[in-house]
Amino acid sequence: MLSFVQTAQASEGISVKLSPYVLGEFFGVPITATMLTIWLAMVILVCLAILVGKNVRAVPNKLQSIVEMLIGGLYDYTTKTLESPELAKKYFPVLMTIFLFLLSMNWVGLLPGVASIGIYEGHGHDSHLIPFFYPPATDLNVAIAFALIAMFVIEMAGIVALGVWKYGGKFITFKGRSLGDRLINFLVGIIELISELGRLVSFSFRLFGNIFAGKTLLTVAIFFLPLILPIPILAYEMFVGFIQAGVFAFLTLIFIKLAVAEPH
Amino acid sequence: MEQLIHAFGIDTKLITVQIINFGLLLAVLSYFLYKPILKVLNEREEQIKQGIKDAEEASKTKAEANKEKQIVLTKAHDEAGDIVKRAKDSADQSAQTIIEEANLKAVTAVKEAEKKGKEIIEQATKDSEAEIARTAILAAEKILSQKA
Repeated sequence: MLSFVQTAQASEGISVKLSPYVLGEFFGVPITATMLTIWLAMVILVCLAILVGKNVRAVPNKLQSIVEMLIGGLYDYTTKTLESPELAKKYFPVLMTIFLFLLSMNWVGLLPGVASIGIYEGHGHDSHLIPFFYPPATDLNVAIAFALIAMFVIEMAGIVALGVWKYGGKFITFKGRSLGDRLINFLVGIIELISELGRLVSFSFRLFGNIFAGKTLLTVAIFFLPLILPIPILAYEMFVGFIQAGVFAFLTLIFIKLAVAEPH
Repeated sequence: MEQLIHAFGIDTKLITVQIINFGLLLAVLSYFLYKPILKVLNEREEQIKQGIKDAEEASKTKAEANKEKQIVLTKAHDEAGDIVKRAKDSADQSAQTIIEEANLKAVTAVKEAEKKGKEIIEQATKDSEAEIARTAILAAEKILSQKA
């Protein structure tokens, strides 16, 4: 993987980088292009939220109608899936924020200027562009952070709903009528535990992989046919950005549902 | 593993910052967006429920009023029929009385007229008898004077 990245950078001028671009450092925390883009997405999202939230009317205008449809629809869907208004009220804000945050950062990542405005570093043959903004989900740190948040919420949902021992009993158990039964149940529990941890990887790499692939595809398309080819790909990437945000929130919802279910 | 972490640029500080970002956004969106929107949706749902309830009640009241109206109308209709019947009866009775009186009057009038007619005839006969007598005397006088 590493050698591929290095050859791609060296040979043709298409630069494909797995790690985020570091622009500077602030109190020991590296400031990356993806982090700046996330902050931009957050500013846009917060401004929109305040604009809509502060002007809520009983008779909605167009913008409020759209937001109502999104929030109300997803709230109803959460209630239906979790089959409990209390659970829906508890977990809806996290699910909605996962969706809105991922959607906004994926779409902001497609704006013109992202990945193309920056400063050149190095001299002569070695010089390369360090962009100020870069699609955030191409940074594995971001995907891992989202996966950790989702996992934390899912495990907490299970513990809050069932209690530590009962929820833990889903994974480490010695129950059974005979010795063979006990052994099988114990092994099934361990497999459950591994698949639970495996979600962390699948969550983060699904998001990272999809958006990184899209960004790479766009880079290649722009390199070969800069005028026409990127347009349908951009449209497709908007769709992918929406789907990935939805999938992430949807899977979190489903795993919460599984976590709060009584063990059998 | 270390090489992999280096290749992906994984940095726990960046992950931490991103989790803090998420927490911040969660708090801000919950307060500024989800709470007011869900509240207004809830209120609207309540209003619609109230509206439907009101409409149901109104239609119930209307049905009751219609029923009452039907009863009142039937009663009024029956009463009106009664009144008309009574009026007709009373009118018939009056008419009978009037006709009888009129008949009586007519009979009396006819009798009186007959009486008067007879009187007139008698008078006339009397008058003409006197006339005839006078005429006869005159004629006799005339004949006698001629003969003499």
